[in-house]
Amino acid sequence: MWFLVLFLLFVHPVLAQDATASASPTLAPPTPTPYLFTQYSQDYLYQYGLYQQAYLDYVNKKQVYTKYGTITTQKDKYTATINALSARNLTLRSYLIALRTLLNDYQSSNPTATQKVQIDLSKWESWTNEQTTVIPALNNDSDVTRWATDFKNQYPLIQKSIYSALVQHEANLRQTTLIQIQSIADSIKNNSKIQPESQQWISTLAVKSDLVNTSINNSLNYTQRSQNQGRFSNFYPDSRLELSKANNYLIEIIGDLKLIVTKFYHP
Amino acid sequence: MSDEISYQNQDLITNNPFTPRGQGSPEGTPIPNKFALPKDPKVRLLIILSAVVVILLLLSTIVTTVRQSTRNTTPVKVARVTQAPQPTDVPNTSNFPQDLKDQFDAADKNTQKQVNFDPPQIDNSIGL
Repeated sequence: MWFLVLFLLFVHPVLAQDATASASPTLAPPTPTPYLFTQYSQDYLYQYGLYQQAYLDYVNKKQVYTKYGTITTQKDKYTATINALSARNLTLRSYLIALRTLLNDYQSSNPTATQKVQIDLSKWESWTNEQTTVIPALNNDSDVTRWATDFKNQYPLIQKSIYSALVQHEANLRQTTLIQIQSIADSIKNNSKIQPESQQWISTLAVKSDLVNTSINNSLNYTQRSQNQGRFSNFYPDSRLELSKANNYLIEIIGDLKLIVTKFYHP
Repeated sequence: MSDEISYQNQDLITNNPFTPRGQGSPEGTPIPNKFALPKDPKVRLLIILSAVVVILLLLSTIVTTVRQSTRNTTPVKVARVTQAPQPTDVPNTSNFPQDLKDQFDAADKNTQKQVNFDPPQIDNSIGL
């Protein structure tokens, strides 16, 4: 009995071991999500390198065939043509995939318009995907000529999609920056250490913000330019000019906001 | 007294059909200049107008050549993206509140970004 009482007095609850650094396995840091555009753009550059090699080979074989005109040189030229067409097709496909991925970066500023452009790019990706099986199946020179003619007619439409996507991407970037600037203006308004007199200066920046939006809209309007069949009317330089104007206005607005904070901020 | 010696044959200067015009003729008719304009007014007008046309053609050729050589040396204007000139006294954001400073830094970073993902230069006439 006494033994039992003594036992109960001195016994301690058996606790589990505390987790120690040596005892528990080290938690691995989460794997950072890879930036997909980097991967796809590297793949595109690799394919582009292969295309350039195949193209040089095609040009050489074509010249040799033109010079000698033998059956062997004709066969070599035909093989080189098929290889160059395949390489070109893969290059285009990898570029379209990378470009579609790039559009994800600032999609939130114009989600509907961006998605529309991405769908258009996907359509051409699917087309180039089909051609990976069509091209090797071309049997003779007349098939190759027919296919090449069809591609030449389609290519201006592919170019239109590509340049529209590039314009949309940059427009999204400038729009995102404008949203950031508006957020800065709101932060200035809400900061108690910045004098209220700053508000009247901030309100004058609305004019420049409108100019930014106008330039962005103009750049996007150029992408709607009608295209003649078989010939691409390049709107990209005009769009880029408008986007650079928008960027210049953004830089001016940021400079003005900094001056406002410098003048009216008293910590 | 005349110095003329008269002969009884066709070598007589006055009767010789093969002597050039003006030679031996007692009147001394001057040799007409073969470069002189013909007397017919219509022919004269035609020649003058032809000369004017030829001169104009030559001038236009010269002007075209000069313009082409000037055009070849002038670089093709390409739309370039240029940033607005920065003021020399750019406000220092180091004294700004941290949240504002971070926002300004993010916005500055975006304005410096350029889209550099041009499409591949491909030959769309392969196989043709």
